[in-house]
Amino acid sequence: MGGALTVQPQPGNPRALLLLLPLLGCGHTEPFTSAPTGTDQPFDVGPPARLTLNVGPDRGAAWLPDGSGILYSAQQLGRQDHDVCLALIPPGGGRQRQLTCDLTPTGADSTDAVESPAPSSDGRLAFVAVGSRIAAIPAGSAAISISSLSDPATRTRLQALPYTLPGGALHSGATQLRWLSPDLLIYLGVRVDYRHVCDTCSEWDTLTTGVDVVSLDLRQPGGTPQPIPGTENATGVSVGATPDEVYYTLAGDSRVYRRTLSTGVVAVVHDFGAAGMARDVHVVGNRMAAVVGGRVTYGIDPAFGPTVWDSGGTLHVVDIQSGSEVALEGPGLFRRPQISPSGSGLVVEVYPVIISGDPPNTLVDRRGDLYLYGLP
Amino acid sequence: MKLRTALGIAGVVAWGVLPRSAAGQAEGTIAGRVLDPRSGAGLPQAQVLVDGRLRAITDTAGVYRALGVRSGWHRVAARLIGYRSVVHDSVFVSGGSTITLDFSLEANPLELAPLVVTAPVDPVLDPLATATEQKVTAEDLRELPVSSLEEAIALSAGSVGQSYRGGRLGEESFILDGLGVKNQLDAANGGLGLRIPPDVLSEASLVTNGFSARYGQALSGMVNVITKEPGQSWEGRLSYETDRAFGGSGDLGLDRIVAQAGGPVIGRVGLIAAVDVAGRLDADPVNAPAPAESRDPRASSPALLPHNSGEQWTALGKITLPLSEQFTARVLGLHSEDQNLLYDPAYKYDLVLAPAQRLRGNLFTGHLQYASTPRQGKPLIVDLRVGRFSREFLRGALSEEVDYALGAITGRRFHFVGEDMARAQDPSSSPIPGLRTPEASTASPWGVPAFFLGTGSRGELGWSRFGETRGQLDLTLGASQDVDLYAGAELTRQQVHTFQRALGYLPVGDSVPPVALSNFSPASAAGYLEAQLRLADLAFTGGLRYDQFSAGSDLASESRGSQRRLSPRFAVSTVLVGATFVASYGRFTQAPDYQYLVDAAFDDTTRTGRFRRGNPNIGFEDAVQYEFSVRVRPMPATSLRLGVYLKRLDGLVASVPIGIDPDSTIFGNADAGSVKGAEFLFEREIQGGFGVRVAYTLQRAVATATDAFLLNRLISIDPVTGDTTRPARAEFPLDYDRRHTATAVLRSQISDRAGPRLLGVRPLAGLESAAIIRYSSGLPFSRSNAAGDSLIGLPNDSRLPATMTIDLLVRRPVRLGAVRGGVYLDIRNVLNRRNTIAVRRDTGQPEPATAGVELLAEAAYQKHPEEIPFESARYRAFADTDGNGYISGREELFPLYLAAARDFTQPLFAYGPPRLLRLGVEFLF
Repeated sequence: MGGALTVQPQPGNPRALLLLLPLLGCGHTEPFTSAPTGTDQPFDVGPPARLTLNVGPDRGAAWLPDGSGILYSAQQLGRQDHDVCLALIPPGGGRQRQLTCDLTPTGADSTDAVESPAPSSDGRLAFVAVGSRIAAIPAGSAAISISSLSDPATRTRLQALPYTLPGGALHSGATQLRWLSPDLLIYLGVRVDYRHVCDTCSEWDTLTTGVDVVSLDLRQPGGTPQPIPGTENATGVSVGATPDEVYYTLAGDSRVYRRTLSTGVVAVVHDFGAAGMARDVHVVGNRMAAVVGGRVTYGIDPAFGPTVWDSGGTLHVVDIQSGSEVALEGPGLFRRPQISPSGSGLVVEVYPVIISGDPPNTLVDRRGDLYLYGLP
Repeated sequence: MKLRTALGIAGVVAWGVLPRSAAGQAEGTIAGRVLDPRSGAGLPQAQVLVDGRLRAITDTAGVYRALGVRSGWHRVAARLIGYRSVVHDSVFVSGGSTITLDFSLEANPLELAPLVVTAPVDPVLDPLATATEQKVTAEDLRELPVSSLEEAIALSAGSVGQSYRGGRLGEESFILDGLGVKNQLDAANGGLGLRIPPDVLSEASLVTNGFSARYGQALSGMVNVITKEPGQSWEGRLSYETDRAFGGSGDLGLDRIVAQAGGPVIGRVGLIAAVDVAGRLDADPVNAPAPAESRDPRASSPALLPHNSGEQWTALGKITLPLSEQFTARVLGLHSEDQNLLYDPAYKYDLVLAPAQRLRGNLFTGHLQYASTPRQGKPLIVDLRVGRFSREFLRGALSEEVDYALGAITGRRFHFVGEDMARAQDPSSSPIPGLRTPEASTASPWGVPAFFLGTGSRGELGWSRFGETRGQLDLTLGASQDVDLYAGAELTRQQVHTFQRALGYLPVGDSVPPVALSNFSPASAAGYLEAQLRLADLAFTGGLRYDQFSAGSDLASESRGSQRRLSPRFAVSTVLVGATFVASYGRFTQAPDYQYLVDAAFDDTTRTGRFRRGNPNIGFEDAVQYEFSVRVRPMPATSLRLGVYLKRLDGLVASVPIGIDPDSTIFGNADAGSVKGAEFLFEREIQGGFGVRVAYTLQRAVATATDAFLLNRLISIDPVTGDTTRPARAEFPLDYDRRHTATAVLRSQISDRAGPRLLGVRPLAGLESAAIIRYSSGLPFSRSNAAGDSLIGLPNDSRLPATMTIDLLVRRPVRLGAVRGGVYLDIRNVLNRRNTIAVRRDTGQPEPATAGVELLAEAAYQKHPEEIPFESARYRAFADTDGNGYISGREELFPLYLAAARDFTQPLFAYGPPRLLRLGVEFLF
């Protein structure tokens, strides 16, 4: 090799360094990435803001403990298996951040449902997992389960459904799961019945009647759920400010009760009086939301026994301390309200009332959507 | 002046009847005569020393021969009492070849200092060498626009990628410093797993015929690699190259760091070591056109594919220990790691779920050589070599995201979901923990549930570990001046462990093949005898090789025991009118890849089944080759070679259907073919600042199947009756049947004082440049119907367009004080030519037909015509033309499916690489 560019041997000769500048100066070009398609804004800001437009039913909303999102169950009628999937949307509405459908590797061959999600502050998720052959009535299997929030498919079964309490009460389902403490779940044990919509109809109605409020201790794997005394025929349950308080409502009753678990003392928190039967209670701090009256009856069904038929009611928000209450208006009947952890928002299921026929006949759409109210 | 005189006297190169050593060795031979220039008589009893060691004594005719000289540069001297010694300071000995070096000693009673000749000896082509061999030197690797041994070997005539003379991938063998190394598990599709740092190479060669009976396990060719020996003083090289400076499409994320050093450690013990680390953000770049749809993210940056990075680490160390005058020991260790992310179009928008792979290889060798001294009578060389080679391969979904440290270099090993399960060869039928079922992606610009996948990976997991311990003993005996004898034996014990799982997110069941496992220990043995006889201008080489292999005890209940073969080789060469004529015949045999002995499970996208039954009774694959060639040197610095060859292949492994269901096939020795060709090579060494090498090959390679997994090529389905028919056994062009290949290598070197001055410097002084121009006719392909399950016409009767590339390397030597170095610019595909390397079988073009895309879109839409609500992750505002919060109806939905279909069917890998740039700086010490 001949020929050399001789540089005066001075340390740090700038001409020498120039050789290296093109090599060291810049980082590599990045490959293409896809543009984000999400949004944190709802389609219809309202008020109330409409959070979901899904043609299938959306229900069972639950706020993340830090208020950063809303979990709910969304049935995907476009899927062949009609799964009821676990969805997560931003707290103000917008695009789903997560949608989990199949709970098993072969889930495409069955209808899977994730119902009544209850996220904990440590990243766990309790929910009712249901599986069946596609469109089968009743469901093939159900269980209260626990998993991580990001992977409901990898779950641990806590309590199979149905089960019978030592006192003889049968719980064939569970709803309104709540975390009383990191080791204690409470929920509404229910009886699930199925009935054709009409004598000549093929569609089914699902009737969910509350039986007891029950606690489940996660520290005792395989243990029996423990009913909370005085909650027979309950129609709603909520945790209080401390793990020692539980709020609940009873079938046919307009009152909201609070029980101190350690002492067994029960107090009436609020009475909706003539407004009608109270249920679906939810309490955060000094605020309480409940569904009152509307299209609900409680009676003895010849086939099923004590049964609640509930197509939704009016939504009431109560200041527990002062007792003042406000009835919120909306585009339909309400079910299962959930107040945000900060108390400034409320998400609720809304079921439109459809008037059709001559003479006019009012029906309540069985497929509800979620709406968001801002609370002062 | 004295130097020129010395050149004139001592530099005489003579054609003559000279012995040759077996092609493919790590050593060569120096032979010639020591003469009295006045009388022209040979000088008997003259001593010939190589690097200071006495290696030969001339006979009564003044003829000498020094066998077993390590490939590389040497200092060769001749001395005799009463004569002035002559020393050639720069003699390059090529492995397996004989270099002719005559000495003329002037009588002088005075003890004068030796006359030193420093000019390199003109490397005459070994006139009687019978092997078809093309060499690559260390200088080639440094001066040409090639970055690896494989790229340099690919310049050889008859080479189509890693297919040599129409052979399948995996039909070559690899010889490193005389020891064979082969991935006997899955060479057809797996690669060796070892990389040789180019900086430690002395030379490499591709031998495609006529190689010694010492070497087997190859039907197509043998790659012979010889590493450097440590020098007498420490020297080394440090380099860094990158394409950062070029930006945009010129920056594909390349970083490469090479460090090499070698020298004496203690006394005569020497060490040479090298580390070569390279990373590229797009390790398999393509020159595909940008998409027309602006919402496709690739439209703005078409050059660099994401999740396509590659990282390579290679380290080599070698110690040479001269134990005594006769004994020399060498120990070598080599470690290579290759890990790649693999771009999968279905995971374009969920890249973390796309597959990756990791390949790791280790090689440890020991070599003890005995070379008799000239005083001990007939020259005898005994080589005892032992080697341990291990290789591990993994492919599947990564268990964690990749964290890059420098460019594409992570500095950490990839880990895969289910890796521990695969290593433990867990036969469980349950889904692999950590894998999730893939679902339609929600991240594409189109939103619709079609074509693109997310949520879970494809679910494949493949692992294999192959180990081999080999012992090899070779004897070389110079029986007389006219006869050389070679003999040897080799024993190999191998260990094979494999694990393959497809659709791992599902339990094994009807459509999910079972886990394919294997654990067995094959063994092989070989022996050979070879003799070379020289009569006047004729040289005869005859050899016989014995090979055997057995599958291993785990398969004893099915195996019929050891398979055996005898392979004769014969060649004759002669020199007439200054030209060398060679005719050769050889039978070559190799054991099949061991992967065909066991079941194979794979996720097949071409619908040829997902399972193949292994066959422990598979036998050898065979080839018989005939060749005739002529070599001539029209002028001192030029050489010309013409050759024609015919190779008949038989017993190649193919998939044999034994039922209607493709999954019922079994591997068998069912394929046969033939390769015919002619090669032309012309070379002019660099003289006067310019050199050129041109190679042209005309070849025809036909067989029944290109690789062992192919099945459908033979099946056609009658569109009217639906009958499935298989044509009679016939031969068709192989997938790598490239009829015409031409390669031209041009080199130039500007003198030290050439060029204008600029700011006190001559920027062009000493500039070295090299260009490689390649032209290749198109490879064949088969046309099929739109469904892809029936051929149109005969297999492989259509041809791809021809390809052409121009590569360029320009290097400028630089000195910074006491440090020498250089700056270089390497450009591949200078013209950025878009070479078509694959097409769709239904259209014969890289792109799908418009009607085909629309059919795909229509089928996807019909499968999912449901509306998409606003909150769905699939909702795209631009498609909601009526703004009602739903994408619904054909008017709004179908355009999304059509755009998704166009996106998915982009012909990315139908095109070769684009222009690749790299800027490098090196320091030599």
